[in-house]
This record gives sequence, structure tokens and C-alpha cells, in this order.
Amino acid sequence: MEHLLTINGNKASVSLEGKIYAHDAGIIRDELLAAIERGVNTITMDLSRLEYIDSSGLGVLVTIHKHTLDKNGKLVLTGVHGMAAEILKRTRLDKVFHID
Amino acid sequence: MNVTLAKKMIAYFLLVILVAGAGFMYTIQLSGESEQQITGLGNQDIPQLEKVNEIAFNAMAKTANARAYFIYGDNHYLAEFKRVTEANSKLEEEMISQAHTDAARRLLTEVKTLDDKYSKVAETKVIAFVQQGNKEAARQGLVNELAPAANELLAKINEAKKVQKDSIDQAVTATVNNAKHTKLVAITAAGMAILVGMIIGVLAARKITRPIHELRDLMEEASNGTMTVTAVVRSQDETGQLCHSFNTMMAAQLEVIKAVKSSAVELAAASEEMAASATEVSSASASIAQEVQDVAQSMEDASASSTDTAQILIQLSSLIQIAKDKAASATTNSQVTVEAARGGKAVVTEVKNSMDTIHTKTREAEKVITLLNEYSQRIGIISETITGIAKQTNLLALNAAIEAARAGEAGRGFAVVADEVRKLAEQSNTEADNITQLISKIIENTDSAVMAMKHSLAEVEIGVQSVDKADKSLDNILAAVAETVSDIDGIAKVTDDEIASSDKIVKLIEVVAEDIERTERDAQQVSAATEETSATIETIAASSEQTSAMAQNLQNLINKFKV
Repeated sequence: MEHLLTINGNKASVSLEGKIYAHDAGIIRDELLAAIERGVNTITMDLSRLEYIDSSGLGVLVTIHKHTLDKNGKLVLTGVHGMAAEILKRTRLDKVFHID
Repeated sequence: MNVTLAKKMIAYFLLVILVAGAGFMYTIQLSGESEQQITGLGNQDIPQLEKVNEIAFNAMAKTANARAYFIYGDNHYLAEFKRVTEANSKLEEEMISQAHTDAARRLLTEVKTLDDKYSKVAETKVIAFVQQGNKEAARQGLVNELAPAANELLAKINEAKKVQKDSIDQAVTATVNNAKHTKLVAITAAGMAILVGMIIGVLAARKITRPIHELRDLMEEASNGTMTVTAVVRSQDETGQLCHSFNTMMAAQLEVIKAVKSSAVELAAASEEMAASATEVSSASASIAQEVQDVAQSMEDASASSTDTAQILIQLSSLIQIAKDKAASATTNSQVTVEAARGGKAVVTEVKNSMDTIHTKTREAEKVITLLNEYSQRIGIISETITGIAKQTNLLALNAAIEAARAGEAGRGFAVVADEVRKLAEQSNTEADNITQLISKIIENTDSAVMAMKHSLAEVEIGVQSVDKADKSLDNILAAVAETVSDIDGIAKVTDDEIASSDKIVKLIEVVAEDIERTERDAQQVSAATEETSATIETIAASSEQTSAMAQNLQNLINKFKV
């Protein structure tokens, strides 16, 4: 898995690539929570190059989503497709996340 | 045996036909007799009469030819006479053989006898004399014998003719009588057949129709409502079967009417209950509709809750999986710690061993130094002894020098020796002093050394204790790390549980969401169905009122029947 985090003020964008497993989920979680701790409250996550994500990754998305809401911000998902779109639909999280 | 009506009717017809047939058979028999008599008349009596006539004619011819021969003597008449005689003889034999009665046979035999007698008389008394030429004799024979024989013969033939005619007349009369009898018998038989047929017909009709009439009366009674009537079964034919079927039908109808009567009462009660129940159900249905709406609302809430739950579950699953990952890292790190602690413990053990060795060696050195101190003190004592010996030796040398001096020259050499001895004694004394000083220093140093050793021992013991503490600390570290590893293993095992696995969680959330959505849809369907049910129940309420009225009507109708 590769990911690229760019922080600009209270906004951050992250692009997820390849396959996300528990280990990668833990890293992303720590990084994004640290960013939120530093004042970021709006995160745009690009999933267009994401090949695989499981519940560990989804849980991180939910955690980030909740933390941004707590900070009066939001998590926006873009480029949702394929397997990620299917798992979001199956878990009904497509009704929870803001998906562009 | 099952005697059907058709068989009975056939039997009745057969009886009539039998009676008529018997009459006809008898008539036919009588007709046969008449026919036989007429045939007999035609075939026998009349030809017999004709034959008798022929015999009579032949007899006349015989008489004529005999007379002609007598008169003319012509052989032609003789031949004719013989031919006629022979023909008559044949006819007579034939008739005798064909005679029916003894009287006729006897009469014909008498005719033949008379005929033969006539022929014989003619041949012997007339023809023979004519052939002899004795005319007179021939005339005498002719007149006296042949003429009476001829008369006798003709009279007998006439008698036979009469008998034959009488027989024919009698036969004709019998035939006529027979025909009349036959006619009478035929008329009687026809009349009897008609009468018997009519009687049988009337009886049979009565026998057949009586149960039907009874059955009709019973049916009228039944149609008036008396359902307890029973037909008497008298026969096994269709009528009997009809009566039996009527009874079965009435029994069944009685059961049906009883059941209907009972059911009508029950129906009336049930329809009233149903009307009441319909009202209750209607009320219950309204409650259910409200409940279902509540359920639908609850399901919407549940849907929202399930989304929250799904998020929490996914977070939990994520954390568990991340924890699992971190547990795996911690396990690896713990292994490193364990290895380091084990290495430290090995070093500590070596240090401990070295300290033990130092301790032991220090103790040994202490002992050696103590021993050295003892030896030094002993050497000091020895040195003092040497000093005493040196002093005594010096004294002795002095005494020896004195003595040598006294000896003079002779004692010079000795005085040298004594001096040398004295020098040696002084040297010994000096060395002994040095030794004493050295010993003092040695004792002083060994005392210091002993002190130092004791101090070292104390330090070594402190060091050993510290190393023991370090060892125990390392043991504790190892135990703690082992425990940590075990705990991490536990975490790893717990997080290995399939429940926390991504697929399971996703599947679980999906199933729960689907269940809730399905329940929501079902609740909506139930709500719609409940509305339909309410409408249906209103219809049922209306129907049950109608049913109640119909049940009352039914009861009124059924009460007309006597059961």
C-alpha cells in the first residue's frame, strides 16, 4: 500500500493506492488522527487507485469520519469504485459517508 | 338370487304363453289327428273302397267271361277269366295284408275264400267240362254251382263294400267331430289364454304397482315433512331395491336434515359470534395497524441504529485487526527483549561466577595473609631467639677472645675465630634486628592487607548481592516478558477469532441490515395487509349479519320437517 498525505491548513487530502490491510490501516489511522489532532477537520480521500480494502480499513474511515464530525468538519470520499464501492454498499456505509 | 322386475314380467308372459301354447299344442294335436284321419281316408279307406269296387267289377268280369267261355268256347274269354281271377286274387291278398281291423281282414278273407271257391267251381265244373265238350255238364255246373257261388261272392263283396263305405262314413263323421272338437278346444284355449293372461296381467300389475303406490304415498308423506317414514321391503326385485333405496335415501336425508337443523342452530349462534368477533377483530385490526405502524417506525429507528452499530462494529473490527497486527509486532519485539534479557542473564551469571571466584580467592588470600602474619610473628619470635643467640654468641666470642688473649700466641688464631664469631654474632644480631623490623613491617602490611581483604570481601559480597539482584531483576524481566508474550499471544488468539474477521463482520452487518430492511418492508406489507384485512373484516361483519338472517330462515324451513 502506498499513500500520500498533503496537509494545507485545516484541510488534508490523502490518496490511497493498492491494497490496504490491517497494518496499513493502523499506519493511516495514526497519521490521520495525528493530523486531526493538529487541527485538520476536512479530509478528502481519493480511492480511485484503491484495489482492496477490508473492514480494518473501513473502520479507519469510520473513525476518521467521526473525528472530523467532532471537529465540525467532514470526510469526503472520491473515486469510489469496484470492490470499495461494493463493500460500502454491503455495509450500508455508502449512506453514512459523503461520497463525491 | 336377485329376481328383477324384468325377469318377473318375462315369467308372467311365459306363463300366459305356456297356457296359450298348451291350448295350441292340444289344438295342433287334434288337428294332426284330423289330418291323419283325413289322410287315412284319402290314402287307405277310399282306395280300399275303390279296390273293393274293382274286386266287385273283376268278379262281375269273371262271371261274364266264364259265361262267355261257356257260351262261345272262345279261349280269349278263358284267358281273360284267368287274368281277372289272378288280378282279383292279388287285390284280395293286398287288401287282406292292408286290413286295419280283424273284422275287415276276416271279411276280406271270406271274400277271397268265396272268390277262390268261385274260381275253383268255374274251373272244375264249367271250364273243364267245356274243354271236354260236355256242354250239359258245364251248363249244370254253371247253373247249379257257379251261379250260387257268384251270388254268394257278390253278396259278400257287397257286404265288404258296405262295411268299407260305413267305415268311410264313420271316419268322415269322426273327422268332422274331431274338427269341431278342435275348433272348440282352440276357442277354449284362446279364451283361457286371454282370461289367464288378463288375470295374471292384473295380478302382476297389482303386485308390481302396489309397492310403488305405497312408495308414492310414503313420498307424499315425506314431502309433507314426515321424514320418519319407512318403506316395507317385500321383494328383492327393482321395486324392493327401490324401497330399500328410498329407506336409505330417507335415512340419509333424515341425517342431513338433523345435521342441517343442528348446524342451522350452530350457524345462527356462530354467525352471531362471528358478528361479535368481527367487531372485536375490527377493533384488534385497528390496534394491529397502529402496532404495525409503530413497528415500521421502530424499524426505521432500528435501521438508523443498525447503521450506527455497523459503524461501531466496523471500527471495533478495525481496531481488533490493527491490535492483532500490533500484537504480532509486539510478539516479535518481545522475542528480542527475551533474547536480550537472556543475554544479560548469561552475562550476570558469568559476573556472578567471577564474583564468587573473587570472593573465594579473596578469602583464600586472606587466609594466606593471616597465615603469613602468623608466620611473620613466628619469624619475629625466631628473630628474637636469633638475637638472643647472637647476644650469647657475642658473649661467648668475647669470652673466647679473653681466653685467647690469655692463651697468647697460641690463642691468636682462636682470638681471630672468636672475633669472627663475634662479628657473625653481631651481624646476626643486626640481621635479626632487620628481620624484626621487616617482620614488623610485614605484620603491619599483612594487617593492612587483611583489613584490605576484609574490605574487599565486604565489597565482593555487596557485589555478589548486586549481581544476585541483577540476576533476579533479569529473571523478573524474563518472567514479565514471558507473561507479556503470553498476553500478546492471548490477544493474537482473541483477535484471530473469525468473528472479528473482515468478511464475517461485513457479512454480519449486511445480514442484519438486510433483516432490518426486510422487516421494514414486511411491516409495510403487513400494514397494507392489515388495511385490507380491516376492509375484509367489515365485509365479513356484513356477511355474518346476512348469514345470521339466513340461518334463522334455515331454522324456520327445517322446523317444517318432523324428525
